[in-house]
Amino acid sequence: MASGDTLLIFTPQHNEPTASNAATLDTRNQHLVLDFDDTTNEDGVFRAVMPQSYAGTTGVTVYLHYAMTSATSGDIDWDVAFERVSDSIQDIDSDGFAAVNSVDNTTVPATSGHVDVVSVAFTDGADMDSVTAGDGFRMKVTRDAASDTASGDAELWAVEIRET
Amino acid sequence: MALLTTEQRDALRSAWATEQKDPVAIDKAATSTAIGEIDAWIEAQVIDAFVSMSEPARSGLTNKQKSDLFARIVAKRWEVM
Repeated sequence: MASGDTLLIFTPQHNEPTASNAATLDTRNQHLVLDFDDTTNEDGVFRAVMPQSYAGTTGVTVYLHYAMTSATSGDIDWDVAFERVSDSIQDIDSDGFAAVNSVDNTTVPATSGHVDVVSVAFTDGADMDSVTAGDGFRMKVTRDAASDTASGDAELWAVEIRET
Repeated sequence: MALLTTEQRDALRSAWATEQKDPVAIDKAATSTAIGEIDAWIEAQVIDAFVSMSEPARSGLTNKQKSDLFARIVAKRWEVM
């Protein structure tokens, strides 16, 4: 697959809530969104199988589409991590997410309902927990609320994974 | 002087921010500062509200009951909560 091509798209209803500090479903003008708190670091977890079209050379870039519930100033920090759940690779009784990659200090849109898109790049290999074409995996998206400055919930609207 | 702890102010700020639907033009730090300032003002001034009540309310109500009335009046006046 060519660089920039879409591999996967997730929407809020794809979230598999974590046992604690899970982002929560909400609606905004009938748009289903995933709310991330501004004080506690909350997670959204999305499961998929990496498409066979993934070339496995340049890695992937994760695009987060979000809006702020009310904030029109301040910045926001996001973390993303991958967990490979392939053939006899991961005991699903426990979590095995690789280290997070981040996009930090993004100034939020000046209009709270506007959707902003930020991206987090992963190189192929350990950076994305060695997920290859055909591997099952989970991807965890976390708002680093302990570090960012924007007030109120962040509303995750969609997530796209592209070939880098 | 603010009496709420930093943790209490953070929790209050978070709960307030979660419920805001209209645009909020200040960030978390500025909101926390404002909460501390309001807390300090209440500590210094709320006694004036209590003594503004005539008898039998002045001595017939506990400070907690007076505070409850105060909060409800503020909420009603500004149509919040």
